[in-house]
Amino acid sequence: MELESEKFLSNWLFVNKQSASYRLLSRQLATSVHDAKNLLYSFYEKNKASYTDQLFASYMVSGKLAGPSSTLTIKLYDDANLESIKAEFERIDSVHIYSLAPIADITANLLPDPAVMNAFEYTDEHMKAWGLIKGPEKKLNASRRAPRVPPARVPNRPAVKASTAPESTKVEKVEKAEKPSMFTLAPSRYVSRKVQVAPSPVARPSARAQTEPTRAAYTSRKTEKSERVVIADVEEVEPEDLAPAAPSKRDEQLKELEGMFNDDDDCGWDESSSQKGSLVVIEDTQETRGELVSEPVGAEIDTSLIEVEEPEPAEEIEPVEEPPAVENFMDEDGYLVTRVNTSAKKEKEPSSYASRKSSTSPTKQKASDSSKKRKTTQSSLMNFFGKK
Amino acid sequence: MLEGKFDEASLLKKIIDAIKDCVQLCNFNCTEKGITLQAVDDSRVLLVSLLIGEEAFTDYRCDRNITLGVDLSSFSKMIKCGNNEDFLTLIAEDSPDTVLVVFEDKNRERISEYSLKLMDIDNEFLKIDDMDYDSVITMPAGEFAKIVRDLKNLSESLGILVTKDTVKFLSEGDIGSGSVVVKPFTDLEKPENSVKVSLKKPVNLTFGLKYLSDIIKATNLAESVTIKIADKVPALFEYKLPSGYLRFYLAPKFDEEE
Repeated sequence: MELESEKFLSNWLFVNKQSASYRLLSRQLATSVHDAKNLLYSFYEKNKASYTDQLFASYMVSGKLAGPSSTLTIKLYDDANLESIKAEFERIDSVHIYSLAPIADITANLLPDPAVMNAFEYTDEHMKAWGLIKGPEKKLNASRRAPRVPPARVPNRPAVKASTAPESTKVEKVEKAEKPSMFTLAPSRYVSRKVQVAPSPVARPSARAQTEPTRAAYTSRKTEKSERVVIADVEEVEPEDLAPAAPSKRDEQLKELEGMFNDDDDCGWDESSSQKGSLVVIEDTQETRGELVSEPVGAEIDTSLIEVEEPEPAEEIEPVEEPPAVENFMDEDGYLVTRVNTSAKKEKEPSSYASRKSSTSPTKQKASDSSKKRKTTQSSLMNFFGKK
Repeated sequence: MLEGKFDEASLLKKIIDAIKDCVQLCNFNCTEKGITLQAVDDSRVLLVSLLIGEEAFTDYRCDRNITLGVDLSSFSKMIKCGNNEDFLTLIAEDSPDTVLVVFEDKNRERISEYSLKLMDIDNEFLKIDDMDYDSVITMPAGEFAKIVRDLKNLSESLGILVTKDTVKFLSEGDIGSGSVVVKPFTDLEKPENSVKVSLKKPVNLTFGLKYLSDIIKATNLAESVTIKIADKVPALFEYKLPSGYLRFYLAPKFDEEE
């Protein structure tokens, strides 16, 4: 894998003179975006000394900018600006490599030609390999039986890689290999941001990109509250779960989501890259990751795919206070709903209602009594007068 | 052949207006003594008994007994076509299909004729015996009408409690209760404003205000109303006409236990 990566990158960067993002690398090698980041970074670390003028890295920093009202902010920067950029953040959620380019201007060649990216087919297999989230069918199955415990996911991961590995043969452009040297930076942090609940991003340096983390975090969060829990899409990331399942709105949402992931980097960066400066700033008010509790979270897609602390709509319906009885069922939106101790609550409600009713009843009772006392029936004339 | 001429159309107008809301179809029985009517409302709670004596007419002639089956709502529309001061003449054949209503303007040479188709109405004629009533109250018709209208706002039932020298009208409803006490009173200058109460026995009866509010539509017919009540029999509300009367017999309401 490393060899292929280096061959591709050296050819792409130094021969074709094009920039290579981790996403391009992921597509080319049919590996997950997270692995691609690692490969990209290791390639850069190995070669930056020997190609000082031809190899420039850009990084993506996400976090909260200093300032009272700032929201989740993602910034691109190059090596030279690293420290100054970091200083702007009040809190940094993730820093990972974004792309390598043969020229220093990160805005000019940030992205490979869109045509290149579009050339890759978004088949199920590819998407699994790249770590993209697959559509809804899988989600439904997964969410129904989904174990909430994060550990379950861990075993799955290797399987995915194995399945995707063979596809790596697709890489056609391979040139001479560069010096192999492995180095890992903080690339995976970007992913970890999504997984709020995950204990620590550092612990899973090799964790896959954005899609994975959600599941584990999501589960733990809900269990903590010991309330009614809605689990959505948690399992999407796992390849095995991608079996076809009931289609639903979620399906469309997931597709949208996938689209966002694809477009996210490409389009977003393209637009922002119009600035000549070395900085590209993307502010995303809607996305909030788990760690960013104070930030507003809006997008529906985010909530379903990414672990977010804000309660989902379904959750708001009934908060349950007492832990004991737990009941799982699918709600109309396809969420797996865990209801805790609802019966107790229900019983409680009627009783209070009854008591309230009874409190008002006395006066009514009184009135009705008096009226009852006075209740009369109208007699008929026929009781008194006979027919002639 | 029936030919009855009222000096003023207003009398018949008032009579028809007073009864058309509680009975729709009724037979006018025309005899040589006058015109009588007896009708019971659909719920058989209120009976209307009318006598228009021949003295009420300026001219009256009825050779044979004639029954005029009339739809009162239609008749009312027709009668309203005349002015109050007009002469009103009812004309019918011995076996009539129609009754002719003729208005003659006293001031102008104008005669209006309306012909009303008659109906065959199967009417139960109830035999009403003269009764001794425990209590007889005579009071201004307008005052009685006001009491009924006021207390109708509170309840569906009006209690009439007659004790020594006192009549108490009583209504209890969901929103509260109300009562009006009327005591005998003599107005020498305007005798019609006097209130008389004769009591043989205290009486406490309850009547449906729905029917009472029909009865008070006859208020215009007379200055005073006479209420005769006795325990457990229909009450009689009588409005005296110049010649004759308009009587309402109203069955009381009884407590359910009874």
